Amino acid sequence: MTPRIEITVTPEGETSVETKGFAGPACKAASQPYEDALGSQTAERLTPEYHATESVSEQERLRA
Amino acid sequence: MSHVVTIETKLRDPAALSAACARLKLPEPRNETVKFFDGAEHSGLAVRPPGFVYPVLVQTDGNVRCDTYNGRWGDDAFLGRLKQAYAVEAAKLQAKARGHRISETPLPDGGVRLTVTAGAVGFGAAGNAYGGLA
Repeated sequence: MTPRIEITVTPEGETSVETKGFAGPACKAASQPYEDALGSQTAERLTPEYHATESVSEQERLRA
Repeated sequence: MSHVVTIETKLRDPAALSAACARLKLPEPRNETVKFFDGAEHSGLAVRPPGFVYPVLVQTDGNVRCDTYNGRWGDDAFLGRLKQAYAVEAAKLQAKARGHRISETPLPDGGVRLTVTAGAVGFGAAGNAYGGLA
């Protein structure tokens, strides 16, 4: 999947930023400038995919 | 999908606010000091939607001050529309500054979805290419 950031803005002006298709923590670095430009973070949810990618990286690190 | 962040929109960037006003077909916001009904004076960028007795004042911290007298002196729903327009335009400015592509899709509930892709430039490392924002 091509990495992308999806930003959803409600009619009330509340915003959610969602990253898709990123490998590991790169998703946070990619979306941070957009989050900063939009306002203040009120909640963050890490998805199962985030943790799965993290554990693969950790295994690679331990093998190295 | 890897993470989802919920954000309270803060109208901190004057350029994005100007673009939001243009999007809503409102005059360019101007710096003003406004005396509200309670006698308090506040300064900020004044947005003047039709039908509002007092302007909607956007302060430097991004917070919004207005007095609609429970909707009698202005439509309370306008504040949501202003925040929405601001968020869309702020994201577009950010994408432009970073060389990213951004597309806009209206949603059935009146919301807007923006999709950002980086193409050849990539999303790169953290850092603020678009100056002026905290």
